[in-house]
Amino acid sequence: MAQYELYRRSSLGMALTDTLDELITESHIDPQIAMKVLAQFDLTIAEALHNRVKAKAAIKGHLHVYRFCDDVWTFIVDRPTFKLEGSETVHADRIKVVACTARAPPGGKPE
Amino acid sequence: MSNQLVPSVYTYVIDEVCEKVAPTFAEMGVGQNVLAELRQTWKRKIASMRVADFDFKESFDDGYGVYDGAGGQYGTEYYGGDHNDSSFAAAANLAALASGVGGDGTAPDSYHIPQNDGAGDEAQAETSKVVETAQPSQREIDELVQRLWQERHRAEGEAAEEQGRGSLAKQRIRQLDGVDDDDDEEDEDDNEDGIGSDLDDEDSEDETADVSHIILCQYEKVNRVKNKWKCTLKDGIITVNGRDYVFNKAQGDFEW
Repeated sequence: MAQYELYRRSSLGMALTDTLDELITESHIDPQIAMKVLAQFDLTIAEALHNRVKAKAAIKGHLHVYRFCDDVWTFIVDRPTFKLEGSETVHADRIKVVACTARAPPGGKPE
Repeated sequence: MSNQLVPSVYTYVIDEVCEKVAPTFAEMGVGQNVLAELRQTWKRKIASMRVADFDFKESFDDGYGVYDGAGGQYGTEYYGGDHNDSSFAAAANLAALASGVGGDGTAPDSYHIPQNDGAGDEAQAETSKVVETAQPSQREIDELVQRLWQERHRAEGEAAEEQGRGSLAKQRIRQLDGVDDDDDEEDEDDNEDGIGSDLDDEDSEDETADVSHIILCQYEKVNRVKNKWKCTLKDGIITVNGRDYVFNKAQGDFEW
């Protein structure tokens, strides 16, 4: 299972880092524990997305920017449309895609 | 891609993380009540982001009440006025600093200073103004801070100029000219691919893009034929239009 810090930028990850920041500020925990919690979050979120989500998605759009650096793809897609399971679609003006490799992740075994 | 799944997946992650770190908390001598606090606050924050419809909204309302009573400084203060107040104190400090550095009576407009000390407000001629702006918006504060900052800069600049005046003045100017010329040329060179170049502009566009709409995921394959890109993505979280979606696999078809 890949373990990335990538998902810390998600809303769930931001909510966690915010919470940890508060706890540290109030000296309820020290930063060392916060790091361990975040490391556990990296593991658990990846595992949850892998094992507990079966939904598929289709994304179309105009590729505005692409970038490949350090095994990370970054795309900026203009006017993307998302096809959800069951004919619902979602539109947006622009979305950024950040994707780490699923193949040989650092700090984890390749699948 | 599903939004319905989000609450159950997120709840699972929160509970699982809290469970897994419990031994660490015990080892480090941190009470389980702190862990409970972590779990509650985390859930409350994610629910308040409204990225999905969380069913624990009600269940933790009770907890929230208890929590708010005990913790006091959570919630309201975090999002509420206190933040403004502290920004305001900072602004006032800046004001003091600005007038201190300036030292020549170019004190910043006085209306933001009385705002701070509250009690003396009535005596001030600007009272009405103060009352009106007693709860300044974030934007007003930003503007104020920016203005004070500029004033301070100007004051510093004047001070520096004064120091440089006299016998050294001419030499100083000449020196400056020289350096400036060099800088210009260097800047042009740098602009090829350095900060402020076209490449850099792309980056700043990224930053605007990632504010609210982002997909965080892993890729299995990325293929390109001419201007057609095909990406096989997996294990992703999409945040778009203020909602979160999760997917196990996604196919991206983009045209460049």
